[in-house]
Amino acid sequence: MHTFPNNFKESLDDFTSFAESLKKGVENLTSLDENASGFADDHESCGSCRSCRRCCSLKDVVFQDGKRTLYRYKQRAKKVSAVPTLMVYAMVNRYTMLDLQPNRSMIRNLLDEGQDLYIIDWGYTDRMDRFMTMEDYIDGFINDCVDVIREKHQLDAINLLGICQGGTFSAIYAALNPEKIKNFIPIVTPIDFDHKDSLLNVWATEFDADLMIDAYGNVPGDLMNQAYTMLQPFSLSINKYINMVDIMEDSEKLADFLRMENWIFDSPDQPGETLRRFLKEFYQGNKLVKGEFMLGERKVNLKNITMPVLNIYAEFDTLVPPVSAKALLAHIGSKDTQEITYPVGHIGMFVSGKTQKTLAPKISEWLNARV
Amino acid sequence: MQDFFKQQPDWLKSWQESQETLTKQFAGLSEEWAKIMPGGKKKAPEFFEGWFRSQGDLEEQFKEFGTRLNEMMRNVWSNKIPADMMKYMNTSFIEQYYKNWLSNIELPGGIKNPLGLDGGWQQTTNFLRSFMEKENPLFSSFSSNKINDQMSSVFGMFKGAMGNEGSVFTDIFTNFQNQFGKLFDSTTAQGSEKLADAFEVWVKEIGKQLSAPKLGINREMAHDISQALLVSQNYFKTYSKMTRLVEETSRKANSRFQTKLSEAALNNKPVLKFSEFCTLWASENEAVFLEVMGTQEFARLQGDFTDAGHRLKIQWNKLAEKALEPTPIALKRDLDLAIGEIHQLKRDMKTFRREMQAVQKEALVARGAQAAAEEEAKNAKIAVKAAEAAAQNELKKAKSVIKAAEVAAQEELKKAKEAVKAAEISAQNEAKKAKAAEAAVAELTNKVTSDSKAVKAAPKAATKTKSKNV
Repeated sequence: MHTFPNNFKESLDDFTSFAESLKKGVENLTSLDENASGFADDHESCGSCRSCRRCCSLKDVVFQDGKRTLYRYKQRAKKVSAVPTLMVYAMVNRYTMLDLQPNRSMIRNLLDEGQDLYIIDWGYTDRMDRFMTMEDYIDGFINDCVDVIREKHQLDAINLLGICQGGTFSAIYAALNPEKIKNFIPIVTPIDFDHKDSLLNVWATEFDADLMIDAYGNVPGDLMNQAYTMLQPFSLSINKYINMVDIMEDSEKLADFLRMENWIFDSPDQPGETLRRFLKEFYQGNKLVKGEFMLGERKVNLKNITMPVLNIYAEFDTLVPPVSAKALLAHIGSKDTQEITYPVGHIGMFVSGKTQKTLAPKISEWLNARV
Repeated sequence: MQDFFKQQPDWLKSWQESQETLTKQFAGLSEEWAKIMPGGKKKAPEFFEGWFRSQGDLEEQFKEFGTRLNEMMRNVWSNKIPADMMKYMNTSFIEQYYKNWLSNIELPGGIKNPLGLDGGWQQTTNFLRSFMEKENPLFSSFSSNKINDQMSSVFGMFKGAMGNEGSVFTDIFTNFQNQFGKLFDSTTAQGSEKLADAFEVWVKEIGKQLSAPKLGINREMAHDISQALLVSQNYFKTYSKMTRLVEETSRKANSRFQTKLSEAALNNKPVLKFSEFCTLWASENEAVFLEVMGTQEFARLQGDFTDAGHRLKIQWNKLAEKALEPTPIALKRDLDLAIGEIHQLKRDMKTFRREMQAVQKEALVARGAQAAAEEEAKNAKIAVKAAEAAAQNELKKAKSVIKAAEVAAQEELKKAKEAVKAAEISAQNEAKKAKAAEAAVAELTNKVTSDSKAVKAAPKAATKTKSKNV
């Protein structure tokens, strides 16, 4: 309670300074120079990111199939690994999270470590993708990309790094094509869906996924965002913007904040048929762990993942809780496995200061020992 | 935009001045109130009216700030950030915070601010409603605005497509839409529940009309509308259940927040800063809400609510299709069918391309093998030819060698013969010589014999001398 009149006066003064901060923030915002907001000089527009309109690291198109594109990043180190790595991001949100800005870029850090990186850009789903299935994405595009890279480098097998839903897709691929994958690195990847550690898993069991897909066709990205906001409703939809006032006076911090906001709301719609199966067979049926999941006519047996595996997950992840990610090692056939955890959240894994300095070197060291 | 922005400092300055004046006024009145309260002196009703008005003025003043701030945000940010994000940037909640913060003031003597008793944080349901029902729909799978929009367009299409016949349904459509409008405007759980009950009664009444439609009314249409009413009824029910849950949870959260505020004040650490105040409110609410939202009961209710919303959307889609059927406009299902077919064709093409690539690869390998075999055969032929030539050469060489050998042999033979002849001659000569020697020997023997006889006849001394001479 504010005790009248002293505390009240103090509170009012504080509020006046809050209002002034807002004013300064708006000034900063109008004068914010996008070209001088932390990006290195060598960045260029790749035209693939709807909202940020540019990427932090340079890359070339290697292969395309419709909206889907395979990029190869330009190398930054003198000595480059002989075995390239294909990165598969989730279809929810965009891979630009991995390359947000020079001082928050897992891609740049890995390039500096001498890794040869390829990445899949799923593009922006539209009505024409309504009937795209997991077979189309995994047996289709991921497989095409793996083959393109293998052929280009004259290699039998390459490294595969999957993130979140992209990690689940990658695990399925690795289980079906172990001969093509030399090393597998899942990061914050959901494998076991039968738990109550995330609200998403609690909620997902009690709604009709068929109705949702039948109603929407492709599920709007905005709807997905709302579901994620619901995981911390007051922090993410209210408090974040109140706290924003504290950083608005600092144009650099403001630019960082906006970049992150741009990424959060750069949410492609989810292809209906793929999401239907993902929800029903994973969130509701937990079929991957049960060994009942079929891709096309092939049963996916995680025991076929016999290549070395480095499983990385976040301790405070509310989207993919540790229990879901950790389960992978218990279900695969590989004898060469390792785990790395960080005390961060799902997104913090890629942008927090805690991971920036150590994550890429650890991945690189592990890969280099298995070239 | 620059002009717009240049105006802001002036505006903020005048706002601050006005705020200061109003605050002083409010403070003065409050002090006066504080003085009169302990003695229980009565004051004219005008005084209290003035005090309430003063607080109201402060609220209004801040409401203006909130509105202006929103305007500033939209003017400045809208060209920098996506529209999806903009809708989250509604700063009107700052106004709500301020109102509640102001209502939270405790007057001297521990007197509660009268405006804080029945207002302020008790109104959190309203606050949540703005998230639930408008463009930021917490606990909703799609926003109510979209439901309203979809209803309007579907009903509009029906009216347009059916011409005069459509007018039969006009009353139903209007009433239908009005009831949804009221639901989304209701401010309390009790209000939503009453509307759900009223809707149920209305559905029963309309249901009778639709199950036995008057002559001339499109029966298929009547059936479809009945279906829409049924799924809408379910939506009303689950919506009101959800608002009840939200309201009760927010009440619990509010009470927890008030307790935390009091605890902080009692511990001499009053929450004075505006941002701290907001943070405390958000964190306490979040803790309570997450506790509820993590239960299976909540998940079930949310599932029922979203399922009801999805059924409603599917029903609107069906009705829209029906309305469009007589028109040349492509229907959603036709488009979906076409997209499905195109997609299957693409998939088949991809499979075919893959198979073709595999065959091409095989053909390439076979062609390579053929070329290699041909090359090998060619090389073999050349090798055979070379071998033949070499053999001929060798034969020739051998023949000449044989000939040379024969010649040499002949020569050797000749030589040998000559040697034999020479040897024979030589032998003959030797034999002759031997004979001659034999003859000489014989002659010598004879001579020796004769000489020995002579010797025998010579004296012994002469024999000794002879021996020495021999």
